[in-house]
Amino acid sequence: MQLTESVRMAVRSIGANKLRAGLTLLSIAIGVFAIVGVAAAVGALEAKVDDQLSAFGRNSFILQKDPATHFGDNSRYRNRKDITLRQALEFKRRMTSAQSISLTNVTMGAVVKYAGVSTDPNINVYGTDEGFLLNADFSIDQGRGLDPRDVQMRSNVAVIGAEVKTMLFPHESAVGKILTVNGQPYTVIGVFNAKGAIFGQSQDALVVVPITSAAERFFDEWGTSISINVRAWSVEALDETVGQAVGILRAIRGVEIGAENDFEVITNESISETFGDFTKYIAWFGLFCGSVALLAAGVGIMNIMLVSVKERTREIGVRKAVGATSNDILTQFMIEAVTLCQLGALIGIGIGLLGGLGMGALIKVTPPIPWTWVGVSIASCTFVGLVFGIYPAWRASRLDPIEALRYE
Amino acid sequence: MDSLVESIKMAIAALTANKMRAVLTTLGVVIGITIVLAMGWALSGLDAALEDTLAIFGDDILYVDKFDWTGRRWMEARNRKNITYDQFLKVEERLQSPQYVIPTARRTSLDVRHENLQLTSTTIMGVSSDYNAMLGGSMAEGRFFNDMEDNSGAGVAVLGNATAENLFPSADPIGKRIRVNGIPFTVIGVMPKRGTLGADMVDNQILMPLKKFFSLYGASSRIVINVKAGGTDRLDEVRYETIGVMRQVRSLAPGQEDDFAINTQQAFRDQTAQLRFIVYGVGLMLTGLSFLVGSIGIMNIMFVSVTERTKEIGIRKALGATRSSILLQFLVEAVVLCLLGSLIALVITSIGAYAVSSWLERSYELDFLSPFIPPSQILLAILVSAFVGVLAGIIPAYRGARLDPVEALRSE
Amino acid sequence: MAPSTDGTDDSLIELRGIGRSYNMGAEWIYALQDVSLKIHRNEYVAIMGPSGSGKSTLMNILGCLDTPSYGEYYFAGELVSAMDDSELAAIRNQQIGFVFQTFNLLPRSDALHNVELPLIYAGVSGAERKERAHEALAHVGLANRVTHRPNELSGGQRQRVAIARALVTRPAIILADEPTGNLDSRTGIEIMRLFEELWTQGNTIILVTHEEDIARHAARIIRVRDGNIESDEVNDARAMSEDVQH
Repeated sequence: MQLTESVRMAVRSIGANKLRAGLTLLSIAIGVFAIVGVAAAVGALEAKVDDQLSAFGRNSFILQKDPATHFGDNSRYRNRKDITLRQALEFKRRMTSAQSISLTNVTMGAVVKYAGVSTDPNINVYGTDEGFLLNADFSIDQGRGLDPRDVQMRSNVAVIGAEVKTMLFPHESAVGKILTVNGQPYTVIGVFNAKGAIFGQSQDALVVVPITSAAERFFDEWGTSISINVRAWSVEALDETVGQAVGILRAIRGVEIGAENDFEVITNESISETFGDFTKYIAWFGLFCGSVALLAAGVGIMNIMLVSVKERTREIGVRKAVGATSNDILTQFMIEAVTLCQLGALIGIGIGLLGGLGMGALIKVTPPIPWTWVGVSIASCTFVGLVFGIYPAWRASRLDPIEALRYE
Repeated sequence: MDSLVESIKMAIAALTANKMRAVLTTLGVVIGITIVLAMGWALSGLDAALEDTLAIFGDDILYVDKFDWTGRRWMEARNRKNITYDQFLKVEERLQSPQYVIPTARRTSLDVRHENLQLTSTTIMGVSSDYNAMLGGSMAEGRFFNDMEDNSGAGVAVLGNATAENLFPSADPIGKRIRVNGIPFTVIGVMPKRGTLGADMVDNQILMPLKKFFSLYGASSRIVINVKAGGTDRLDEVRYETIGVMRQVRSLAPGQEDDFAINTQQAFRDQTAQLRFIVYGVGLMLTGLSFLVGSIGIMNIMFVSVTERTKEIGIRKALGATRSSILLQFLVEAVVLCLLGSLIALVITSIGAYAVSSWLERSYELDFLSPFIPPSQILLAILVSAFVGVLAGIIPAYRGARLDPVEALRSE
Repeated sequence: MAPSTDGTDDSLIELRGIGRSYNMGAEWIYALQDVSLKIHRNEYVAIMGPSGSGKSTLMNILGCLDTPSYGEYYFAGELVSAMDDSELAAIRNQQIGFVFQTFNLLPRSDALHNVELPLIYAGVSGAERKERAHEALAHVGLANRVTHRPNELSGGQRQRVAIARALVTRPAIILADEPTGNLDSRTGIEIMRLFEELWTQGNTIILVTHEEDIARHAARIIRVRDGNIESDEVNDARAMSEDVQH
């Protein structure tokens, strides 16, 4: 008997008792929803992280003393020596294969004042250089950005962010005015365009000054570590550029061959990888819970199919009387079980994807479709249908036609 | 009450009549409840582990450091000035309310050597001589260093429990000499075991007199001031006083923010509260799905049951049964199935919990998973399954109750 | 048209010493004991007997639904009693058309699907199946009821659908078990008339019944009692359909 006929017969039988089929489908759908829904939600989260990270620039990387996140044991990093300004300047001199290099040091929580108006102590002061614009993806709205001479001359000039401008110079031009940063006077030479918020933090509450000026005025005698932001010429050249940079910095800092780096290399990839490691566990947990739910659903399927077989005893007798073999009957009921499972899987996948879309809407990102997990779900459901359908189907096939025909 | 007993008897009769069906239906529920219970048990184990870890901090100790240990404003904190020993002395002098005020300094990733055994990545803590008294005073072996040794900066060391075990697997460490990054020390004591699996750093350290620490690593090393309030009820009072004194000592102007942090056990607990909530919520919800599936199985089978016994219902009605007694009969059947399932699940989970926690404890020395399911969870499981049984059975039972007796009698 | 009953080797069905016994709990039931007979093509045979006589068992064996405990059953020259489940199923599919007392149609399928069912199991393709099913239904006068479900048909119509189903594979024999048992007398007569037509068209018909009136329609009556054949005679007093109309 052909496959299409069997499937048609299966659909017919399933449609005969819609309530029963509906409830059975629902159990499968719930299990699949757990698998696909969690995977889709996780995918949405990962997409969001990627999305935010791309703002950092795909072909830039940062060399700095401390790691990007500080989960867990900090002790390893506390003993590292700072990347000093001298090392950083030397690096800049030697590293010729990058599109742009920018040195940065941040002092957070500074107070900026002008004409009696004070900001909250939440302005970030970036001691940096002319590479800042390109590497940090800022653009100038008014005036100009830093140039190498400012750094060389240790000029006390500043470029301010959009939020600072709005707060201190709401009705006048900022360029040329003198404001104080944590008490130190700076002349404004430019204003940045607004960039908005990233991961919930405003990017416009900043003041940029030459790193040499910052070194003089804001670094402790205790010293502060420099971050070196390097922009490779292209995404393809990224790995090679990273390799060169690491080599140069190791040499400058006197790291022995075979010893670990005593600084961190931070790329977009490393950040999303760390995140991905974590979210992978969540997805697997979803798979686990979904599988257990599918197991319970399978038990339900076996139960209901046994009922179905019993109810259709007479029908099975008739089929055998008109020439169905035991195999025909077995196949028929197996296909019924598997078809039921597949329908449930489709519904569960649909709901799961909707859940993912919902999560995506919540965090404003388009989630990718977790194709692998969709495939896994379909395969699992087929498996469940086969495993839990085989016993009732076998029982059906073994029925004696005479007894079956006699059945009330 | 009679009708309830009667219903229960009929329910059991119906179940035993078709054993395979009863087994499969119950199995679905058992699977669902088992996994929910297991999740609850695992979560409470994690909670216990968290509490164990927090306990190391002591519930009445303030740790005054330039860093906030929950990680807030870390980049900014990096730039702050250290708390120095001089500042500590002033603070100690001025603070009236606490029980102990003790300076500690730390250095990490050091090598410790004894004869041919070497440990890398060991932490050294320079502390004052009353440090152990603050912790409770007990020693696993030997003694803590005294005032005199502290003041003279003697080369004596007290080993953390794990360090002692690793460095002296078979011998008695007391009186032996060790070298810390080459500098010789004499071991005079071993601390009792204080850590748990997740937080064993506290056992992997070496304690030495603070003066000795200064002589090796500089007197301007960063100090963390441990302030023991002497009781959780005194925490707020002590904290208030400490902040005031610190601000004075660090010369902060009024209106300026604190350039130090007061770290407490409670702060950590608060920080994890939101995460805990999410983990609990998601974990229980996902496992709850299996339970939902099991209940759908019950509902499905109840519909079958009602259909199969249509004639019987007709007869009962003809003999005078009311709608509510029919309703009750089928409801009870559903509830009995659910309760049976939950009881079996409880047994399985209890056995499992005992087995897993015993194995973990034997093989990995993890002892935060309790071998028993807490009674509150057991009660909850039973109540919830009874409730779910009612939910699952109500619609089919309702259908059965509303059957027209004439039609019902006519069906085969 | 007059059938020959002398045993020649072109018999369609031959039973030699067939017996069937089975045990119910502690007891052994000897439903058939040492039954031998031959049936040729285009015969119209009635197997008659009271309930418990073994006629149903005999029918089940003839219809390859059951296998004998001993003896040999030759169908079109082949030894059926030695065949396995799938071979028996094939014979039931191609060579035998059942008609049951309770019609035994699939309740959720329309007349067309019911009739094409044997063809599905025979592996016949969709288009050809539909054509032949239409043909069979037309043959029994139900061309205009093709899409009706059993619960939309009268008893007589349902039995006709069952007969169409029995005919659709062009079987060697039509095996009818109390075909009029669930019908009123007038409809019953219609159905018997249909069988008569089928017989004149060349089909071989075996009827199993306990009613004398029905048995009288056949050309040969085999009476069964207590598991044995009591008599096997040509039926002279054939109830012709014209007679009954009076």
